[in-house]
Amino acid sequence: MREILRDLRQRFGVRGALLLSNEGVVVAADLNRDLTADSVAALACAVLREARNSSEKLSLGPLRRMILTASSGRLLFEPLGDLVLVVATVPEIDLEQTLLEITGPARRIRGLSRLDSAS
Amino acid sequence: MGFLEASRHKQRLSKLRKQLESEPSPFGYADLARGYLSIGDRESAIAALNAGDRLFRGADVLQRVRAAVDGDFDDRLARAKDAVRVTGSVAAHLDLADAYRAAGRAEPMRSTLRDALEKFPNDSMVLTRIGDMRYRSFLETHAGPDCNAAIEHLERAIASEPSNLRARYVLAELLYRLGADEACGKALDELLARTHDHVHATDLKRALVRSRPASQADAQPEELWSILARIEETQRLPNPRLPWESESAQRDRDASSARPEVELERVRQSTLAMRAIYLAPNGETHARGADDGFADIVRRLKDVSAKAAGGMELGAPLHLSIEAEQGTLLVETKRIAAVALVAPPRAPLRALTESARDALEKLTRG
Repeated sequence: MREILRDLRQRFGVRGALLLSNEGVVVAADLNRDLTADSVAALACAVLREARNSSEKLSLGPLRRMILTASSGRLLFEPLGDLVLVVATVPEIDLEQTLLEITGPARRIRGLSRLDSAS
Repeated sequence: MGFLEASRHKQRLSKLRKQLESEPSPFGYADLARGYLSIGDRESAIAALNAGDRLFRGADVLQRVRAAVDGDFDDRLARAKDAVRVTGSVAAHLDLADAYRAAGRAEPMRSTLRDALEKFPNDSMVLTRIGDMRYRSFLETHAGPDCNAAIEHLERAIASEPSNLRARYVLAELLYRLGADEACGKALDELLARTHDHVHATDLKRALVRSRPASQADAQPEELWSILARIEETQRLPNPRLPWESESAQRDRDASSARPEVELERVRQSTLAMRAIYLAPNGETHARGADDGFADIVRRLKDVSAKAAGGMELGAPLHLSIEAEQGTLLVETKRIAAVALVAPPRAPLRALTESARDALEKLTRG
């Protein structure tokens, strides 16, 4: 998993990525030095929790994806079964380009986590 | 750790310290402090935290490392209380407030600061801390009295010590969030005239220049400071005339006050959104197909996003989209104003975002 995250971080505009369990535990992380896994995980969990609560209250069903864009960066949340992939990027790159970049790694992680739960 | 390894570790820390001088960040200072702690150099760890605190006072990551340096919270609290008893100094009071804050005890922290203000009514640092506290509270509650109190204490802090850069910066940031661009620009210019290398002030100045429409660039309403001081009164009035406004300009503004509902309906129709809401900078809510429950949901999401973005140094949140199986929730933010929509599932995100952003720009311009 860590290799997939490392590969993801090499992609254009990506500042780091981490995998969280649905309970908020960091499963793997590969972040730039200015980000620490614990702090990103804590803040990401808070947003994710609120997003899930909101989705439930508005009867929107399970989350497919969440994007938080701020003036100096962007966070993407991609639920992958029992895990959530969180990717931090710079704000300048096109959103669709970013989504394209994370599709492959997300699919590989989903595949690995299925293998893990099957074994 | 062997001597060579320790020596290499120290070299790495020295490199990190130099890097921090050109690119300061609270996480960097926290890493540096942790690094020193790992080699048992407590004194350098404290120096790193103090340096970080000077630039990023109150940053959670620094507080957490400080707690690790200082041992457990109870220990730190006991020592801080002793210091207040023995010395009774301003620094001891502020340290006790910090200890309460690090322990997550908001009420004793507030009461310690109030106590400090009673004893040292003109101390610039105490006034700054109270101004900062009321500003944070305003960000959560959007309550006029918090905003007034923050402005009042920060202005007193600056009057008492004109070189207080922290007070100047917090005041500028508050004015920016209120949309008082001219006053914010003035506050930033005064701050940057005293120091050219204030990273946050430079960033805020850049953001201010980017967000300001060209037509407003030269406007200098003299009365803006008094308006801000009277913000509570103006909030009670339905649509007051601003001092620099002519009567006809006020009439135009009154006529356009119906716009939020019109604008929201337009967005709702163009995006097929089921719900649409506008949270105005003055705290008013305008909704189409939505109720108070939706407004509360949006406010909570805005607050959590702002905390997360701030904690990760991502700047001010602009956009949040939650794509779910049965629909998409979108929140576009501009400082404390926001437009939020709930659209059908798999709606094109780009089109939704553009419509909401466009509406928000128009409404906040009005």
